[in-house]
Amino acid sequence: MSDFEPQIVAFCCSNCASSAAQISEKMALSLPPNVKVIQLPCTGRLDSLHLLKALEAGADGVYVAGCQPDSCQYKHGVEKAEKKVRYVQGVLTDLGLEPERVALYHMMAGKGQLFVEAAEQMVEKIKELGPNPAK
Amino acid sequence: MAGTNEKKFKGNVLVVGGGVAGMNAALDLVAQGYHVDLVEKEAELGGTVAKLHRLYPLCSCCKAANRATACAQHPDIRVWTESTVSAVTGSVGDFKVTVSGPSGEETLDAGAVVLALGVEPFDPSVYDTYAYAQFENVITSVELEWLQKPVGPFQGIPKRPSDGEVPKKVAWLQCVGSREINKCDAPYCSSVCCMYALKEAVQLKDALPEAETTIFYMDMRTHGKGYERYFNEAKEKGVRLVRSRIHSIEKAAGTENLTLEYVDEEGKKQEEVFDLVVLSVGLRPSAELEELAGKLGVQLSEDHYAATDTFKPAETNVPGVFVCGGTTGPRDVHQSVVEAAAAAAKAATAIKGTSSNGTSPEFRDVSGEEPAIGVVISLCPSKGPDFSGLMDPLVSFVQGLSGVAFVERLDLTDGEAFARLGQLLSDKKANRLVYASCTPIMHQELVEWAMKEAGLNPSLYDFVDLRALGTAPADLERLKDLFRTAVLRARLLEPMTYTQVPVHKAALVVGGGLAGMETALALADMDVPVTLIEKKDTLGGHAVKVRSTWKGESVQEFLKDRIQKVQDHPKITVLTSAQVVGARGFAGNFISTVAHNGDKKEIEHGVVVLATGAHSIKPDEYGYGTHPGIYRWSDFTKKMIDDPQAFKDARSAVFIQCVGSREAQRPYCSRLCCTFAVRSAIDLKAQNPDMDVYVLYRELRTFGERERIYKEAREKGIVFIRYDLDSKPQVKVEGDRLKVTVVDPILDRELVLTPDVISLQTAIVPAQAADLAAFYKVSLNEDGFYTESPAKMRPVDGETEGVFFAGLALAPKAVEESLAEAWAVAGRAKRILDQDVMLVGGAVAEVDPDKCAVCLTCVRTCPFGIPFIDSLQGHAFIDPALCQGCGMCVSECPGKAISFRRLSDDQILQMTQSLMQGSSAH
Repeated sequence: MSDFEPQIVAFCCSNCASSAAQISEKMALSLPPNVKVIQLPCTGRLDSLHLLKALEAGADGVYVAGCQPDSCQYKHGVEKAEKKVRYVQGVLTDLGLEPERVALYHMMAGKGQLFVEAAEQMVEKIKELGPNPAK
Repeated sequence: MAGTNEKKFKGNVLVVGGGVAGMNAALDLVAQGYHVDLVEKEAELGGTVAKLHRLYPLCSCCKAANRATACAQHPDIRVWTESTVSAVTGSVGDFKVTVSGPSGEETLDAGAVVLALGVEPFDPSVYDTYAYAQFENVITSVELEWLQKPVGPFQGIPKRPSDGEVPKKVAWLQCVGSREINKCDAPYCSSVCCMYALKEAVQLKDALPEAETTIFYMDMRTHGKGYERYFNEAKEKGVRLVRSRIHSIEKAAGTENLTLEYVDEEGKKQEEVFDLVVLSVGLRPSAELEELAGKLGVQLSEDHYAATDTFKPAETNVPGVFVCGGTTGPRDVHQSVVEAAAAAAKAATAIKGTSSNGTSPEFRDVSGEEPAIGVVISLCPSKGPDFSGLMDPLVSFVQGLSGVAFVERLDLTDGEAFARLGQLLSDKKANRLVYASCTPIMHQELVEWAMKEAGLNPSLYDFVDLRALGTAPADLERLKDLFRTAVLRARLLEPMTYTQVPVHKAALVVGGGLAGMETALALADMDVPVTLIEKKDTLGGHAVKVRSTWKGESVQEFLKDRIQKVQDHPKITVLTSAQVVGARGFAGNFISTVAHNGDKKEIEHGVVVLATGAHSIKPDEYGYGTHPGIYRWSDFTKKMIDDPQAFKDARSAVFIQCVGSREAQRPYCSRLCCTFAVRSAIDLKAQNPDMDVYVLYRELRTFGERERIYKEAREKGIVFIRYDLDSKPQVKVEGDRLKVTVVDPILDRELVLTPDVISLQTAIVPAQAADLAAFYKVSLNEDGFYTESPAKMRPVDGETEGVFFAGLALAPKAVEESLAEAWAVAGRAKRILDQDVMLVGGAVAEVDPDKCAVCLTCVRTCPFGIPFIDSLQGHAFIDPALCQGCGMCVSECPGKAISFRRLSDDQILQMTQSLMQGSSAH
C-alpha cells in the first residue's frame, strides 16, 4: 500500500478557506499534489450528490473546507454543509464503506496553516484506508 | 497622468496615507466618481493594520490586504509609494500639490485633500522604567503581533528573544506611553490597547493552551461594540487580570526571566517571575503630521493630532482639507473606517462635480459563438523561479486544449495590467475567460471591469487558484488537471442575465434624531431628495436630553440649528408622527409604505437609512422611583438643560455607573456613561466647589482624549470609588434623606454617603427595530442593535445592499461619532444613487415554477429571508435583485426546482470528473 497516492477532491469556501489559502501561500506551504480544489461561493452550496458523485468519479476521499460556524458570510452555510457531510457519512456506512472518506474542516484565516494541515491529514487518513473500492 | 483617461471624473482628491483609513477613503471616493492620488511614504500600502496578526472579532486582516490590492490596481487611483507631499498651495477646489518620490517631483491638481497619516506606536526605549532597552525579553505589543503572525518568523508560535524558548508565562503591562503614568507618556488613553492585549493573550492561549497569561491594567476599557463579550470570553479562557501598576521590572537572578514587583488589590506587595513581558504601547500621531499640517495651515490639538470641531467630524479649520483615522486621535480600526467614509463624503461634497460614467455597458451577445477562451495566468512576484519553471510546459498544454483562443501571462506589477487584459480580450475576440492567479477574490472586481471594457458579460469567466501549490513534477500534473477543468467549465458557462432597473435617486431616512437629521442634511447637500420620517411628533430624538459633549459644548444649540436646517432645506421632506409599516424592493429601487396622519402612502427611494436610535432604561434598583432625588441620567441631564442651576445647592452628589450594563442580562458596555458622569461631575463642582461629588464605577472608561477630563475631575477633588458586581452600592431612603453605602476597595471598609442627588447611569437599549429589520432584510444582534454587513470593514452598511445605519441604533456612542456615521452613510449611499440604473441578477438562484412544490424549504433556508411564495402564481419567487448568490437554497431544495447558473450541479459534476480524469489516465 505504501505507494498508493489517493486522489482527493476538496470543496472550499471562497471566503474563509480562500483567506486561509492566502496565508498558507504566504507561509510557503503547499497542498499535497493529490488534493484538487473546487471553490464554492459558500459551502452551503454543497449538495450530498456532489460528495457522492466525486467518490463515484474516482476520488478516494472528499472533504469540505468551510468557515468557522460564527463567521460565515452567509450566516449558516457551513452548518448546512456539515449536515450534508454527516448524511453522506451515513450513506457510506450503509454501503459498507468507511465514513471517514468524507470530512469537513473549519478554516480560519488567522490559522492559515490549517488549510494545508487539513489536506495532509486527509491524505494520511485515506492512505490508511486504501483506495476507494466503489470507484 | 491618469487624467489622459477618456473617463471624465468629478474631480481629483489627494489622499495622504495608505493605511486602512486612507485606502478606504480612496476606494469610497472612486466609487463616487472621483479620481484619487494616494500618497504613501512606505514602499507598500497597508499601514499599521498590515503589521497586525488579527483584528477583533475574528479575522479581517485579509480584508485590509484586499483593499491594498484594490487600490494598487484600481484604474481611477494613482498610487504613489515611497512618496511624500513636499508642497501645497491653493485652496478648496484648486490645490496644487507637489509629490516627491523615487522618480523626482511632480505637481498635481487636487480639489480636496484627505489626511490619513495614521499613528505610530509609542517608543518605550526612551524611558528606563519599562526596561525595554535593557532586557531582551521585554518586547512591545507590536513586536509580539509579528511573532504571533503565521507568516512571521515562527509560524505563529512566539519565541522569546533571549534564547528562542517558547514562553510559558507572559505578562502584559497596559498603558505604556498613555494616561500620563510616567513623565514621557501622553495624557490621553490610546483606546485600543486593552482590546489588543486581550486579543494577544487569547491568541497565545489558543496556540499554547498551557501558557499562563496575565494582564496588569488600571481600567479594562472594552467600550466598543461586542468588546465586553470578548473581555468576558477572555476571562473564561483563563486570561488572568491583575488591577495594578508595575513598580519595577528586574531580571530574575541567574536567568533571562523577569521579576515584576507590584502591589495587589489587597495592598500587599507581590513579586512574580515571567518568561516574557509585553509592553502594551500606546499610539502617537504620525511623525509627518506636524510638518504637513504646517504646510496646509491645519491646526493641531494639544495632543498633536489634527484638531476637529466636535460637531464637524473629519473637517479641519482649512476648507477642503479633511482628516480621518489616527490623524484625528487614537482610534480603533472600526472608528477609522467610519471616519474614512465620512471624510470621503465630505471631500466629495466640497468639490461637487459631474461625471460621465453613468452609462451602463452593453454586453456582446455570445450565444451563437463557438467558445473562444482566453486563458490568463498572473503570477505574484512572490512565486519562486521553481514555480515559474512549470509555466512553459503548462502553457503549451493549455494551448492544446479545445476552445482555447489564447494563453497569456500578465504582469501584475504593471499598473495597466487590467486595462491590457481588456484590450487583449477584444483583440483576440475571446468570449470566455479563465483567470489564474494567487489572489483570485481580490482581483474579481478588476477582472470583471476588464471584461466589461471588452464588452463581455462579466459572468463568463472561471478562476484557477494558484495559491499553496508546490513545484514537484506531480504538481505540474495537478496544474494540468486544474486548467483542463477550468477550460471545460468556461465552455459550459452561460452568460448570466442582468436586468437594468432605473435607480430612484432619493433617500428615505427613518428616525429624526441627530444621526438621522445629519444624514438627511448630508444627502440633501449632495442634491439627493430625502424623506425624513420620525415616529414622534417632534424632531430631535434622544438628543433633546443631551446637555453637552464631553468637551462641554452645548448640544442643545447645535440641535436647534440642525432642526431648523432640516425643516428649511428644500430637498428634505419631514414627516413626523410617521412610521414605516411595510417595504419591498432592493438597492436602487425600494418602495416603502409609510403611515402618516391616519393615511398610508408609498414612497419610492433608492436607499434607506435606519437611524432609529436608543434610550436609557428605567432601572428597578438603587431606589429608583422612590425619591425625587434619584434620577435616571437622561432625566438628570434634562433637568440641567431646563434649569442649569437645578443642583447648584446640593451638598453632595453621587453618580452610579453600569446600572444594568455589563451584567448577565445585558453584557455590553454602554460606552457613554463614564464620560457623561465625569463631565457632569466637573460641571457640578464648577457651579459649587463645596459640593462633594462621588462617582461609583466598575471600570472607568474615559477612552481616548476623554482621559483628560477624568484627570481634571480628580484634580478638582471628585472622588472615584470602584465597586465590584458582587458588592454593588446600596441606596436607602431614610425619611427624605438618601443614604448610599459602598465598600471602598482601597481602604477596604464601608463608606456611607448622604447625597442630595443621585444620578443612575443606566444601560442604553436600542429602540424596538424588529419590524424595520424584517422589512429591509437586515438583522439585529443579540442586544437588539442592528448588525453591520458581515463583509467586514463596512461599519455603516447593512447586510442587504442599499440599507444603511447611523447612530445609536448600531451601538451606544457619542454625538461626534453619530455625526461621523451620518456622513459615512451619505457617502456610501451616494455610490448607489449616482448610478442611473442598477444591474440586477448575475450569480443568483432561479426557481423553475413547474418543479416548485411550494414546500417552503427555500423560505426557511435563505439566510437573508429573500424567497417568498408568490400566491397568485403558486410557486416560490427569488428576487434576483436581492439574492446574494450563496447557493444554499439550490442545494436544500428537495425538488431540485432551484438552479444556479453560475455554478450548476452539472458543472460541479463535470468538474469533479475532469479533476479525476488526469489521475486515471496515468
